[in-house]
Amino acid sequence: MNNFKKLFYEDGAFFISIPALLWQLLFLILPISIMFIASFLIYKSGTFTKFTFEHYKSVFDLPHFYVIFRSVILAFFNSTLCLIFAYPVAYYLSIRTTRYKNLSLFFLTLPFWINFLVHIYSWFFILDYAGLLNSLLIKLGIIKTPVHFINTVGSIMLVMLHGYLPFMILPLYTVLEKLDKKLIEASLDLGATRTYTFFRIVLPLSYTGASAGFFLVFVLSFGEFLIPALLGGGKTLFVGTLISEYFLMLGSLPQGAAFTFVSALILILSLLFCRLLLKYFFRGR
Amino acid sequence: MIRIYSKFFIRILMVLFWILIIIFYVYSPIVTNLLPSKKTLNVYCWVDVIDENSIREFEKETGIDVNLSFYEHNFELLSKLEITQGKDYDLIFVTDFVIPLLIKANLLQPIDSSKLDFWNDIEPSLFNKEFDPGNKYSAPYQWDIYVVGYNKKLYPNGVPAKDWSLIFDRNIMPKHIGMLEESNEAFMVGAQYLFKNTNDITEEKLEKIKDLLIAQKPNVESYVDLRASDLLSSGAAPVAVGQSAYITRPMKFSKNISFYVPSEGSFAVFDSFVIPKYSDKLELIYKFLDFVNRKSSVKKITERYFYLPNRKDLLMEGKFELGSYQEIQDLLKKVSIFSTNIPIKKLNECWMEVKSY
Amino acid sequence: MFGKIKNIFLPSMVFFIYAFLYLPILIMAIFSFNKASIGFKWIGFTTEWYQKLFYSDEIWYVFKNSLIVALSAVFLSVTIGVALVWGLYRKNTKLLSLFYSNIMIPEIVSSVSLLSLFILFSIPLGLNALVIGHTLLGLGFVIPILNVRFQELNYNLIEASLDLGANIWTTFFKVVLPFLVPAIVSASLLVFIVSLDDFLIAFFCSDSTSQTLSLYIYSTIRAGVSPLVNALSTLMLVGSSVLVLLFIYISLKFIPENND
Repeated sequence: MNNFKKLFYEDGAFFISIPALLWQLLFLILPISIMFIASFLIYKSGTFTKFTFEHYKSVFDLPHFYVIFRSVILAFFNSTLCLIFAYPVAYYLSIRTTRYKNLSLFFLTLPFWINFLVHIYSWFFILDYAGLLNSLLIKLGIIKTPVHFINTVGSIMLVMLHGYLPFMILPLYTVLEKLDKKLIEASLDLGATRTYTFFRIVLPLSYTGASAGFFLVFVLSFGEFLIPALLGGGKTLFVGTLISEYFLMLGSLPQGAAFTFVSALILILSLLFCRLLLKYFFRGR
Repeated sequence: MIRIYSKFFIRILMVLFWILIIIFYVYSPIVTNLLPSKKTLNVYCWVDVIDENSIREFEKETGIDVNLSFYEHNFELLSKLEITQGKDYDLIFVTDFVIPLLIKANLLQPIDSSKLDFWNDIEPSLFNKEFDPGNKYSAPYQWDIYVVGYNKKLYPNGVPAKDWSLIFDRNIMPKHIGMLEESNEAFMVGAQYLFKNTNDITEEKLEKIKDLLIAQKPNVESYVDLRASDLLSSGAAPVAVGQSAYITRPMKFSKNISFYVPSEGSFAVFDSFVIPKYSDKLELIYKFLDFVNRKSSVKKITERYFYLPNRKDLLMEGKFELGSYQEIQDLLKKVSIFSTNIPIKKLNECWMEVKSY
Repeated sequence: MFGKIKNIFLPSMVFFIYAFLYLPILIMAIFSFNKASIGFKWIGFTTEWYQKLFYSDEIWYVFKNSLIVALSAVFLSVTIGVALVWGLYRKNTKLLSLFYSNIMIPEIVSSVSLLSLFILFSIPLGLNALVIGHTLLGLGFVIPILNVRFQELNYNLIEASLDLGANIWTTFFKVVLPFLVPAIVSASLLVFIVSLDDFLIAFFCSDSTSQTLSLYIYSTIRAGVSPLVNALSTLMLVGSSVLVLLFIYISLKFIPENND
């Protein structure tokens, strides 16, 4: 009887575990695999025909390839800027021990939960040619005619920084918080300056958090769709917008799939490169 | 041995069971669509087409629920319709050049104009265009002409040229212009400028226009012509191309805006309602069409969104920036329509190249 | 001395970053009460835009759609998420790390591949399709959160319950589930917010009947600045903040508790 019970429990556990696993398999792993296979086929009038590399070849045609690199550079700059601006905040919060710490953390992560479109729209409001910033600058006499803030790459970068900063602050804070303060004390006691302590002790120890945040922001900004679409004036295409155009405008599944995978490959290569950079910067030779 | 074998077998059964349940859930909309539906109409259009208050009036009058869904680009519509075969939509509002493509893809059903009250009130010259001879499938609702708007304050002595060269010629083009968004619009306009007509657009011609558009790109402030009115009224762009509705909208409260119809010739679009093939709510659809084409409804839309109305009486009575009824008639005779004879795939590929430059 | 600069420099930088994060939305919220429909002159205080929102059928319709999808996604992802983590409890927990990648994959890739799947298998688009996609996203949040909570579960309790004669299901419902409640609630709130916030999956996989709030805002934003969108955005801002406050409150309240 006990044997049967054991069996029942084992199978019972298996039974209830299936849906989630199936979900992941059917709706994430399967579609991506299908897309991968489809990128090697030709899709004409609803059916797949022969095997071909021509989709991948056409991705390397100059303008489309250029878009991928543009996205890599954008993602890189965004991640770096986020890192630069997030670090002081995370560090400051981690060394403060007031009771407002949790509250400050809460307020820092709150923008993350607010609908992204709302964020973008609020920037629209400010950066528009007849928007708040221009009106303010003119009133203060700093400029005579409004500046074209919006519809430029600059505005895209600014809003991306705004959107991804919380993503970077959290992992950094988590790692810096767990940092043993005694190490810093010890270093200072041994006669090191604060700067030396920071660069040789704190920075290397925060590497895991920094790299986690950096990679997260990098991957997410690489595939960004909304910000370039709404704030770029349709002028600059990035990987996200281009993929959507492939699928919705051209309606060519294999081509879009091929482009997606090439971009993914380049993304992974860039990530590996950035990993080396970060390691060098944080941990030294 | 048998125990292990049957255990494996049972587990396979379990997996199949769950797969069946998921399949059932995933395909369930097909089943629910077969059920007799309530009195609801699903209309697919873009943002500034139908007035919300009118819809509420309609719902009150007839008890039919109307659900609006928005789309942004005509090609987006085409792709979505090809995927879903238009099965969930009851009424679609499209631009003219899409209609022959939809007819060819067998996605539309004919409109029985005898069942519509307002058919005789429509301006006759809106009928029988080449995209739908005899208007078998489409009911024209709004139409408009592409014009070039400009900011009078920034051009005190008037514009240097009243044709398409103002947006293409490097010597007179301003630093910031508002350009058109969809591929067919941009390429037709380019063709008009380069070749003075839009007949026989071959792939080579498309390449040349593509180079022209790439050369134009550094001066383009934004490709979103929906915001042309914002661009002009705020002064962000001294010149903007768009449908006359987008250009004349801000003229009400900004006296600095003016426009012209390019002398080489311009284009008109006839945005029409079409009925997807699989919709069976014909009675509801006709009721809806009758309602939105009533004089009062069309008047409200025209006054709010500035598109040109389809009704002859409103065209004659209303005051339009484009001119009197007779002037509008003359314009209608001269404008061309976006031709559908151009190779669409090549067109979109070239446009993607321009956009990704 | 250098340290003193740090004492002034750091806090001011932190302050500016907070301002950077919050000013735009606060300004937008303030202007949603502005009487003027265009421009930035403060004409007068009014709630007319909120009233217009309230009476707008269109907005209630898209809100209803978003709500249906969000609630279904929460229900589905939490149920099968709990089932999975419980089923794998103390067994094959390595399998759970499969789900950690859901957040890392750029949403454009997952939405586009879902669309491809739907096209290829003629799966009808619409609310169901959206629920599928959002559940997928939700699992990526539910599983890590529940896993952490499960690690805190004291196995002795379960053993005790089983020894006392209860079968595994009673044990689950009477012992494990109450322990999981805070994690379940916080995971649900998270998935709810993520689902309401989602744009890309809705953009690719919706049809005429499944217009969601994000899609609606997107269409209206493209046409330019509008005070109605200001008001709607402010409402969403307030809504999200309330939900996040709830989330934090619940997680903070239950963390010190270990058993019972």
